[in-house]
Amino acid sequence: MSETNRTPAEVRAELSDLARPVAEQLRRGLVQQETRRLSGLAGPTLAFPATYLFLVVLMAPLGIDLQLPWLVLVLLTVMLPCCRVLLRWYQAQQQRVADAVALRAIDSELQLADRMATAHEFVEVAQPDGFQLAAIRDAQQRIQAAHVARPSRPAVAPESPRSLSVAGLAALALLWFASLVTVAVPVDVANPGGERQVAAVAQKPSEQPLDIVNQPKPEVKVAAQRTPRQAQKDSNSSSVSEDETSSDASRRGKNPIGSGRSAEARAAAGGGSERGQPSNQAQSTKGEKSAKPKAKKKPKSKKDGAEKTEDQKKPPQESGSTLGRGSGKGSSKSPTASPWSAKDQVVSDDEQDPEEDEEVDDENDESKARGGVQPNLRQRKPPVNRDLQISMGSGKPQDDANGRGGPGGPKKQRGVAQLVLGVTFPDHISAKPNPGMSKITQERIEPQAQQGDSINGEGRGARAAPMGHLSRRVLSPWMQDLVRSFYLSLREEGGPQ
Amino acid sequence: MNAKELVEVAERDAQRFRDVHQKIKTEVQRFIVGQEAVLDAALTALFAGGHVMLEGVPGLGKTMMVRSIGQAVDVPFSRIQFTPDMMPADIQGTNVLMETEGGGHELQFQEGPLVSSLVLADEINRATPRTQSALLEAMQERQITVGRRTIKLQEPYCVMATQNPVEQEGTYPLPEAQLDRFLMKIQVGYPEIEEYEAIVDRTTSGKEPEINNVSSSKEIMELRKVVLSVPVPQFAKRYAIHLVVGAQPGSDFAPKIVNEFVSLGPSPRAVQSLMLASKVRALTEGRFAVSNDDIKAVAYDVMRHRIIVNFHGAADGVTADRVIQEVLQHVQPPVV
Repeated sequence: MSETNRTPAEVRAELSDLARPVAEQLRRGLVQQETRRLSGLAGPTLAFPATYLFLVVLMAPLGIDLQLPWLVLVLLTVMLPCCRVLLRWYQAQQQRVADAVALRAIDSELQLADRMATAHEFVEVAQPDGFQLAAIRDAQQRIQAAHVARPSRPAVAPESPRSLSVAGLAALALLWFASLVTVAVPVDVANPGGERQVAAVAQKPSEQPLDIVNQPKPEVKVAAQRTPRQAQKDSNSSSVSEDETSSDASRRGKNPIGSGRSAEARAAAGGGSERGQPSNQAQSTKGEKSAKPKAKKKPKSKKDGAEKTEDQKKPPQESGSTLGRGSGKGSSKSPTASPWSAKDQVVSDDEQDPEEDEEVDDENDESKARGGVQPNLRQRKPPVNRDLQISMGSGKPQDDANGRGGPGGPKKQRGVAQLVLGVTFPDHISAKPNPGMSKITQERIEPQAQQGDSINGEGRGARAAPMGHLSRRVLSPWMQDLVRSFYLSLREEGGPQ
Repeated sequence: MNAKELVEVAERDAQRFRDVHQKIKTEVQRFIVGQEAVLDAALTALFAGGHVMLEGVPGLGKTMMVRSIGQAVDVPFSRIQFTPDMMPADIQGTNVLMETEGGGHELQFQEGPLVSSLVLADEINRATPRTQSALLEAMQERQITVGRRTIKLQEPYCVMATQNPVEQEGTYPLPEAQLDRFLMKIQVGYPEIEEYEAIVDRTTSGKEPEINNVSSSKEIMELRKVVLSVPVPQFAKRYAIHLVVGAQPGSDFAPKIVNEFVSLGPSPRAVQSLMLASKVRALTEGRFAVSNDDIKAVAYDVMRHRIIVNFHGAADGVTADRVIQEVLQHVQPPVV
């Protein structure tokens, strides 16, 4: 049998022989390409550090320490990219390159214009027509040449590992941040008076070991760096804290740490304090100043947190308090005071429980003793909105209105506004300026007969009165002769008489 | 007929097609210098049974090329110079009052120039849309309806239109429905610098070469059947479909430029045109089946007039050719 007269089955076998080594070569190249592709590993490299940082930040307020050794962290970070590479390699190994794909590659490499791929498709046709057979024969003539000039796939060069190196650096940075979080948070949980430790850590994070949390007495180390005055102040506040922790634990539940203070405490704090900020009686050092924001973020008990969330849910009200403004007139706008100052304005002596008064006095004393740092946070509800404007009774009464000036309900204004008539009366009538629509009513009435005087007709008779003056045109003589002759001639001819 | 005979017939038909194609091309090139790609595209439309639009600035020999093809093929040829005051009856035909032998009068239908085989619609965008629309039925249905009279046009029927892209004042751009009926839109460019000398010699020496008839309408119709019998592999068919769908905004295969700057993509008629033009190219290249290379080669001419660029694209200088280029780069041939 000549080379050009083979059956389609033989051509199919030849094409498969041609495609098989190329398909294997393509598969190897695919495996090589997949295993050397580094650009897709950046995500898995960052996956564990990011998750670890998230979990550490999430668990730190709960007091759960997720700190792991650095060796474990690095191993876990590297594990995911390695798994990804292995998975790719396995998938590429399992992948099988079809003969059609290999023949298309041969066509592309040898510029055969898809002759091999076309023939591979046409040999599968049950009853090929003339052109399909001709296409198979056309490809058949080129199979031998394709065997000789089989394409060689170039080796896949590894990609530039820039993205992977960037991802590695980012992973290390994330792990480092996570280690910082694990150091800082448990200090506050373990030691309520550990503000200075946090400050020290914040000052020199690189010098602090990771297990600084477990150090028994960090105060000694930090206190050595402070001035004697600061140490004295610290000892005072620590003693207060100790008293507080021992005797007023239940009361601290009502008065969360870090809230405001009473107006008296503010007044006692002196003019150096900023409005709305708790003041210290002693001058704070630089280190203490840096420690203040950390102290505000000190974790509280769950009860305190619940109270705080309730306060946050309340809508913010405009402060009308005159405290700190030097004005004794009072505000004309809704005077909502800060939580600790509102107590003095709202709660009356009659309504207060005597036991509560004692507690308030105790708390005020404690607040004074603490220098105003620990504010009195009893009844943190904002005061009612005492709107002095005429509300006409249309305002919706507030839930916390105590009947002494809250809006809504009966008129409760004071001063000049009380004299103004508070009853709504209409000052105009809603109407249209035009007369409005006209109404047409039709009535059905039967016609009624009426008696009328009949008048008989009669002749008018001849005219008796003179005709009056008639103008007469004077004709010239020749015209009179002409008219007379015209009528005479007309009479002679027998015309109209 | 056994397989061997089938192969021989196919090879003979393909060879005959190549011979006739080459003879017509050679004959036309006796008069037309250069513009080989344009001539190939025009002959592709003729053999594929479609119509072709030649777009180029004046003086490039568009009209002369079409006239030369008409002379070489020996088919009824008519030329219509489109003008703004031309009416549909001027090209389709109308009833004319004629005097009979007995002295009486009667209405006789006089066919217009559209009733022909090879119609040169010169400067087609100068006619009003009313007259342009008169071509719709003739180009698609191969018939003309005037009143109650329907005239079947003689095959092979091919409209070769020309238009000037720069002189737009006083013209009426063709509507999309009319553009879609053209198989290809060919952009005629300037000739190469070495071709100018031959142009001068052939056109100014007083010796215009005569173009002989090298084919006939019957032969053209037979070769059209040969073109239709060229098979298309499945992968090439899918590639053509993916290309056309890729030029439609919002499709899965559309690149970014299509989604941003194309307001109207090619219709399914574009796939038909791609297939027909690719078949002709496969035969002229000496192959018996369509390949992806054929589809890529004819994609510009087939899809150019079927892609409408939106306002933002026109403002950014995006052309239909650039869109097609992006689509060809974006859409990869399917694996199987």
